[in-house]
Amino acid sequence: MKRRRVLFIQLSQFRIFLRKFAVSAVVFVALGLIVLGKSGNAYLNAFQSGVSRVLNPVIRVFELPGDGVYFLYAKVSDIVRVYQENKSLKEEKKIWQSDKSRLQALRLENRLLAEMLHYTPPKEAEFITAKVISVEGDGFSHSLTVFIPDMKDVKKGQVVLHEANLIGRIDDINGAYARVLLITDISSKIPVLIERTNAKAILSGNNTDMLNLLYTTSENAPVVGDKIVTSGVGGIFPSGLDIGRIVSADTHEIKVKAFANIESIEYVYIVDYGFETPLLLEEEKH
Amino acid sequence: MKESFREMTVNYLKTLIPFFSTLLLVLICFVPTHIPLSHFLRPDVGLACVYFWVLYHRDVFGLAALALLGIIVDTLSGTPLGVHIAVFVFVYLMTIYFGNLVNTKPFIVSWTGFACVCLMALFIKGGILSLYHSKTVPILYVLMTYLATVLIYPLITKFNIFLYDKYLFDDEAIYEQG
Repeated sequence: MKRRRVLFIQLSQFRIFLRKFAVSAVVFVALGLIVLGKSGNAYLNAFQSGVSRVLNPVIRVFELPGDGVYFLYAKVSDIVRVYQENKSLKEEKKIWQSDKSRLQALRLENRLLAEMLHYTPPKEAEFITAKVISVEGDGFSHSLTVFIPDMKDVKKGQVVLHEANLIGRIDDINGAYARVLLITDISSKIPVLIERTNAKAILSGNNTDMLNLLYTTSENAPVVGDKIVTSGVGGIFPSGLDIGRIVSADTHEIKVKAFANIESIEYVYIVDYGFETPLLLEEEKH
Repeated sequence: MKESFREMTVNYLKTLIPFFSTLLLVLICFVPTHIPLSHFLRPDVGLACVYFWVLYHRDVFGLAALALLGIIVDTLSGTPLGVHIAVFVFVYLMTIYFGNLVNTKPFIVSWTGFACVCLMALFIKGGILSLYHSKTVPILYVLMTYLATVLIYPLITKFNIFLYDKYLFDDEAIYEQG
């Protein structure tokens, strides 16, 4: 049988070529986006903010029935906890009463000394309460999305606390929603102090519930139980904010357990300490 | 028989069901439950859905849907943009090339296939993120996500089959062919 000559590319072959090209194009787009993201491209960030702005209200709708489930769980665990807390609170009250009188004397003394030094106290911190609407805490990233009806006072870089403990900072703002980069995230690095020795170090996240303490000196070697607070170096976080406690201190690795538990965070405080961090300045330039 | 405009629109909207059902499941996964360990054991639902739809009904879950889903998951999870697109394309390619080995076999075979693809995909995701941050992601947590994803796959399949049978399965086409 004589074979038919094919003068043009068959449509099916063209389709196959197109399909192959489409896969390669998507792969290149993906890699391009990753590289652009690493270089901190402003347009890419704006694009991601836009997508967040559309999706976050949808998540908030789903979050409402989730709140109901949590409400029941929280009520049951609250009843159990209340009995235990009541006992310990009675004990604490006795100690507090004796401390109260001592504190009043110290406050008076402090005021007199401050007057003698002409010391100007720093501006009182202002805070906004925000509701957590989504949590990301697996092995790949650690972040929260919070809902704040009035976003005008919230700026990128502001400190985020849960109760009195540092949990992260504002990473991105989209309308009434903000993404919080948690201290446990792999990209988080915070200058800290070991409270007992006043030794400086860096606390690094690693996408687990433990943090790594880096750049510690052998002179002021940390021990298990040492409290870690922010040092204030770098101007992003103020000094003295509680972060966590050392739970293991080997020669090659020091692990810190954060005071705040990511699973139980329902509301957070976004705190404005009134100082301009490099991040805030960078945001204002844009 | 020629389709009317209304029928064409309805049929087109039906083809969007896989994408939107996947998006719905992904969004639900990001809702905080505040239950201990819940966030570490969060399955990668997007991965399971991509595998299912590409394996059984590639015609209704194309590359565009894959890329869009990747962008959405990256935005929600705070991972660098492009990571999930790369991972989903990997799953897409693996399923296309090796899907014939599993898609006509019993469910346990396709589940095993998913377990293999999912493991590779999560390690690729971990690898990209480790390179991006110049730091290794915690293997134990990746494995926890892997286990949760593999264990939830039958439920995802059940849900997707239900959607397919209810909205996408075309009786008339089979009748006409038959």
